[in-house]
Amino acid sequence: MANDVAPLRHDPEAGHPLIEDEHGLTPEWLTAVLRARGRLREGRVTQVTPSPIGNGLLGLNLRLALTYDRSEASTPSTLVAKMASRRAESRESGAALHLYSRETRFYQELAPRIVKGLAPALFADVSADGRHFCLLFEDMGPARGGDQLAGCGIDDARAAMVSAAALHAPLWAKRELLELPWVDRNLMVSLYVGKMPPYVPACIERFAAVLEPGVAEVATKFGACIGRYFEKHAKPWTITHQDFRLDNLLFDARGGQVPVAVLDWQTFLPGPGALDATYFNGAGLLAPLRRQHEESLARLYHEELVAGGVRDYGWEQCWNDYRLHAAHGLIMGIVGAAITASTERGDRMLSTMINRHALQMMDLDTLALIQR
Amino acid sequence: MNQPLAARLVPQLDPVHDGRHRLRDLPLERESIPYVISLPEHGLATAIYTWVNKDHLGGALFGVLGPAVGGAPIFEAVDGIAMGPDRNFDDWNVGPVHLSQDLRMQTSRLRATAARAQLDITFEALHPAYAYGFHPDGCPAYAATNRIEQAGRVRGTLVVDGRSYAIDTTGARDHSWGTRDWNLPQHWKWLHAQSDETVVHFWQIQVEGRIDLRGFVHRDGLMAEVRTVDVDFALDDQGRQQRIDAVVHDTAGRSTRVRGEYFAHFPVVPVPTCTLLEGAMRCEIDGRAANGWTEFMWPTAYLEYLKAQRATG
Repeated sequence: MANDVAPLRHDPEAGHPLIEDEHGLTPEWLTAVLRARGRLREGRVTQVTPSPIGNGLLGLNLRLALTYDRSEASTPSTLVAKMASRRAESRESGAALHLYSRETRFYQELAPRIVKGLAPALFADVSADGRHFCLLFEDMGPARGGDQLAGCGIDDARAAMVSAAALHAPLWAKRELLELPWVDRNLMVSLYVGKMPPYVPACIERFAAVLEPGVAEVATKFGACIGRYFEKHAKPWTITHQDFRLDNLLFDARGGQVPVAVLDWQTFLPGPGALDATYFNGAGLLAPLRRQHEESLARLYHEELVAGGVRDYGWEQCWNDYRLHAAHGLIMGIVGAAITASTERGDRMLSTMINRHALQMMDLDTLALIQR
Repeated sequence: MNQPLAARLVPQLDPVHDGRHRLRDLPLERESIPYVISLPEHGLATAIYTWVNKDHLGGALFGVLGPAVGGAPIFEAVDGIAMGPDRNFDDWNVGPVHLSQDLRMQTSRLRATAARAQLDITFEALHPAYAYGFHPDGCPAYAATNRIEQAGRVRGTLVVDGRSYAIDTTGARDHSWGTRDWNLPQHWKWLHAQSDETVVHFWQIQVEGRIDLRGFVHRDGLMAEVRTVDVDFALDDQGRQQRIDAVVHDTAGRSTRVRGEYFAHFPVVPVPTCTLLEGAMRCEIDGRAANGWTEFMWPTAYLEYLKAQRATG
């Protein structure tokens, strides 16, 4: 009867108010949440030991090791919490871009309709001003993380295609869910259209030493027609992750129970699903491997969509969308370079993205599709 | 104001709210749980209602109504019973009523006794409870801090004047806690209609010159909040509801029609200035057999005037 996938909201009367920072992750708060979710019957959490995960710029990710006053069958030994950054400046950025509220509401309202491939959220809520949020997840570990710079093998790429389709199919063309008043797609599109073209020359200059042949020309030509690219975002749409790449995926999660778990939904948008599939392959596969398997990976994505119940979306349209949206990765690389400070690792990541996605655009003749 | 409701997943409330709450030290604070069960096949209906105030004084009523009762409804009630701060609704024994909720918002057992009637039923929830507090405009402050509504499968027996009636049907319950100002609303229509497949609930309240509306439709496994309702109804010469025809539009874009005819009534007067006309109905939801109940609230003086007007034609 009970829908056990919808996360709890703040509820001071029930002992789990919205907490502002990691100091709120007390044994009492966690006891209240775990009891509400049926993970704890009679026992209590007696100790919480947090340890940071990753180096999130805008968010704080913590793994929480829990101890209890008694043993119960369903109690988790670890959980994962995601909260606003400790730094006020980062919190302001997260709030201004609506990133905290967008990700929280994704877990409140959309994730329970998708379920597969997502970390189950036990608690999800955000403050009215969007500056504080708390997501409490089941721990998806042990799992194997991806390495964006090194790229991945074909098996991981196949798993990613299956995962993308599983994320996209449940909300495919569901208009009432895609016209979300709290997601401003136009804001992101105008950010991309406004930020990218003026930065193309500076970006080419910044990465001149490492750009592959032809990449600068593709970037310049695309910068001149980015508006036309967005005009070609044909429906049907679904919920797209928009940053569906190795760094945001966990493979063989929960000790192999979950083939791929997809993290970080701060930038999701309604849009064409093939975008995530193209973006993953462009970013995660080195060019020779990608060229060898690209069409079969796209076909796998399409077959999985159909198996997931998607109708009226033929292979021809899928392949056309796939080729078109190779441009998304180039946008992410160039806009990423425009809004972040230069660091050695960051520059290596961004130049790799720009190279890989521009090469993918060349291979798929993306510019011709945009200009047609 | 009522915000326009977008389609969204209806949040779920912490099941700890199935239990008793700590009430604020305010004059109108109280907590209450009614169960209503309509048994048109037997010509019977029953209402069980229990409450407790901030001073831990509790009360309960057990009513049995309908043509099979013959004459006035069976009605047993107590109030002002010292319950203490620690008694919970998993073992709540007050006057004619013994309530055992599982404190998980899933099941309960309810027993009630009056001179002419005995009730012993179990309630098994048909859907996650709907909480008014999650509405974008919240739970109306004059009604409660929060309030849940839930329909369930009801099984058991009702004995009236020694005759035993088997119960295997659907019914509804709610649970509210906080301030209840009976005098602020000018009128309301509270409706529950349910079958095994579909549950419809709304509470449309005229208050301070505006209309507040809360509710949900649970159908095909999807709960969606009520966006608007169109209600047509008829009253008899006592101001009691005779029939109702309500079309409920929800945020999932669905329209659900409830049509009912009343076969049993009784009034409840929580404060002298306010009269609740309880009505059990046989009904249909989109043409399929269902059970239902409504409560129409009237200011007592207005209801008397209405009756007088109708009496004089």
